[in-house]
Amino acid sequence: MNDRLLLSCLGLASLAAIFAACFLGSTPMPPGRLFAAMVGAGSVGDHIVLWEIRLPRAIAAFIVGGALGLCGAALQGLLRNPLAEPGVLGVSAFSALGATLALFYGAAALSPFVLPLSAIAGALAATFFLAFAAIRNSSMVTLILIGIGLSSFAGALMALLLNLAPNPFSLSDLISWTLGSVANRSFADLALAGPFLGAGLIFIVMSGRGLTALSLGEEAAHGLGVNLRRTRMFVVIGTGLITGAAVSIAGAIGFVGIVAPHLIRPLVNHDPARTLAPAAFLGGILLVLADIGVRLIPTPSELRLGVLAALIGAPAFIWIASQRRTGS
Amino acid sequence: MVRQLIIIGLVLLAACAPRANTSDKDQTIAGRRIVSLDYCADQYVLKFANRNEIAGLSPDAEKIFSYMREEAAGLNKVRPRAEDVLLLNPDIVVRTYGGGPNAAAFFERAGIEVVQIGYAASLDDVKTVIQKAADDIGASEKGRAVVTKMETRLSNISKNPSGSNILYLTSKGAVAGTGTLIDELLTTAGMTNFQTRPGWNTLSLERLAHEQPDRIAASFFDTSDLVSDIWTPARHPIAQRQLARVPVTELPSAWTSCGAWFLVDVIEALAADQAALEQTIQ
Amino acid sequence: MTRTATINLDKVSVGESATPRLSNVTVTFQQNELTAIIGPNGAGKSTLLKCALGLTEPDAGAISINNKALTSLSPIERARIVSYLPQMRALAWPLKVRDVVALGRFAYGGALGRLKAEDAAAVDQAIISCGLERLRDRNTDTLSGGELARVHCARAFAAQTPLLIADEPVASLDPHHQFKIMAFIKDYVTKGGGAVVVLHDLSLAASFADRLIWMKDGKINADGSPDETMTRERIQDVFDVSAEVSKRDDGALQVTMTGV
Repeated sequence: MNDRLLLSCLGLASLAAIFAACFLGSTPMPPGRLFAAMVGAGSVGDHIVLWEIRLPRAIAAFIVGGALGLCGAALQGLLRNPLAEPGVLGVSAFSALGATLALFYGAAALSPFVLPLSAIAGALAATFFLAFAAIRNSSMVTLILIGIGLSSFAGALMALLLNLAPNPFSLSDLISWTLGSVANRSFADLALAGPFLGAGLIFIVMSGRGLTALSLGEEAAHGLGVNLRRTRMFVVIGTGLITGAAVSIAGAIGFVGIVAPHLIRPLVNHDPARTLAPAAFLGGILLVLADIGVRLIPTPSELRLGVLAALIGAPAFIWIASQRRTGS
Repeated sequence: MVRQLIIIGLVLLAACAPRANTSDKDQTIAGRRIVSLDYCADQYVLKFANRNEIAGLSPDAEKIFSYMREEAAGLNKVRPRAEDVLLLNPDIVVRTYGGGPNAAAFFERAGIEVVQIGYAASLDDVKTVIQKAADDIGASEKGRAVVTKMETRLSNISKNPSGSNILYLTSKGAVAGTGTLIDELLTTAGMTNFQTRPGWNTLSLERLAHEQPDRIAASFFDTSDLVSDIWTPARHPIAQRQLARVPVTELPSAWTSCGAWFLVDVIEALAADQAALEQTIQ
Repeated sequence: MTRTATINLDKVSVGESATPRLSNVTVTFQQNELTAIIGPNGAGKSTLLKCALGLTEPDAGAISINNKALTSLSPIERARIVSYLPQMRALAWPLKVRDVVALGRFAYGGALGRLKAEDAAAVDQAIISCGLERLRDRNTDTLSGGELARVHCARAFAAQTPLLIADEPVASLDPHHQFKIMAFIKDYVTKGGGAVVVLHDLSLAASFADRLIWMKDGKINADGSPDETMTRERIQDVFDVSAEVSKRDDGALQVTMTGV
């Protein structure tokens, strides 16, 4: 498929998904009222519901899904491994840890930017560690094992923080951060993460061609003229920035970064660079759809977005892993 | 012979001891040791037991959400773990939820009397629960005094419903609807509950976009910290705007964290704020 | 391919002095010759190539390409002079054959699927020269080992660099493909290129190479034409095997191992 056609289709599907998400909420709003609110007519209440509640939530889901899809595709390209993904590799968990640390020690109260920055610092710590521990060893198993170790370690540290919690009312915090949600997000929350997402995007885009060359392995890529150190650095910093920003919006949501690139790859002849943008769009669409699912599934209290993402994503992860030929 | 006398003497002493110390009209037993397993039980123990009887309170007894926190100062605190509690050699253990679901059976097996504080779903329940707790702790008289005082205070509150809408909102975004004890507090204070859905629910931002309450009862905001509340609907700009625009009665968490006599404080505060507001309007 | 190009290694050493991977090696690679590097496992052949490409930093000595220090060249500048076929050829993703070959144009800025006319022409030419016309739209995971080796060869040729470095390009290939790949490289050299190839098959080296570099224990043991250097004594010395060296009717040398 032609890349431009693919991106156009995904772009339209993204708009459709976000639009569909705007129909859902506790107030029943027929399309007529929704359109009226969209163009600024209609009641003030409808306007607030659309522009301050439903749209920020849908866009938060899209941005977070897109960020995870993009980071998944970039990490997979760098590590030459279709199972690499911020959630599986423990990057999201460390990011959530960074954010909760800042919250627990009150640093987050100093400036609104402290929270995304701490989440990013956590994510960067994990991506740097992964890059240096795993990049030489291209074994899929080693990489995933390191990821599991990082996730468990971050989880244990989170639990430790919780035990040190000042009062019994904060016991559900761990769940908030590890299961993820985009409920009650406002444009202000998105605006805080925006600059970091933008900066990360630039880093990832600049590493794109290098990722294609890395398909041949590191030595061949070097021979082709790839600046390996730069490519590695850009992906590590880019995914750290983007994952951290995404976690600061929604907590840790797993598996989107595996599923989206996996579905896109056959459509772009498996080129890692051409996977990036479509995987971001598809990741966004998937998470918006998942968030619609969260609101439609009639559970007594609203299901967490990360739970639904894992319910769909974890079996996909297992399936992709089992499809891999052994020895690679 | 001498040994026999000593033994008899000791037995007599032991038999006399309780009587000698029961100056209180309640049959409190000297030297009995009471341990409380959670902050809610702490309130009852602090209210009804003698200070020298309290062998241990929960670690939360002095936290901001504990009503009797000042009285709890200086008393021993113990984590509600079976082992730690047994080490204190208690005669009575008082709990609402502390120690987990098996705690009552466990302590009873160990020969310790367990006082289970009941659950109150209404103001009448609260009175019953208070009296029952007082009876179980052996302070029936004190219990009757507390209940009587509650009734007096409640009867002093104006019975003219103002009809204003009030939204009860916690810092975590929980909202009390009809049928809850909080709902009864709001109506007793002469208000109408803004939340018409029954039971406890999460704040509906969408409804808040369309309708506004006349007043907000903001609870637990004194325990609010970014850690817990970063993503709750109560922090959403829409809710924050309401909190800034609408008159707010701030309720200390200590008043509502436990269903006991101090719930009257909530009703009085709401009624007083409403009266003050009506005066300024007139 | 009219540009002249040379790679110079001057007294290059790698590794600790007690057990060096490369010890005081001085050598020049240039165009119009097919150089085969031969020697036992661990002799330092791959290390020598990696030094020449800047993949391994030498602990001592200097490396220059066209009289400019290798470290002063950008990766792109270097890649436009010398292309590289590494030993590890597993592809992470099942790319299309044409896309793999097009990666050879990386140093010229061509993105896959959006090649400039000049790049597309180089890619087509490389595909034809390695006989891959019928495989161009296949995914690499459907190819045999021999076909994949040809794809990598074409990828290296597509760069149209004056020099080519190949680390065991015929390893684990059947005899047919061994000859085919060596013929492609020979053809590249007759058109003006310079190739440096690590080989394990002495007969293959003797029949294709213009120059043999014999390596043992990180040192160059001998450097010269097959006729000058291919002797049973040297084979005994370098490889520690007994061998017969004979001349076939067509003048090519033939090596027969006879024992340890």
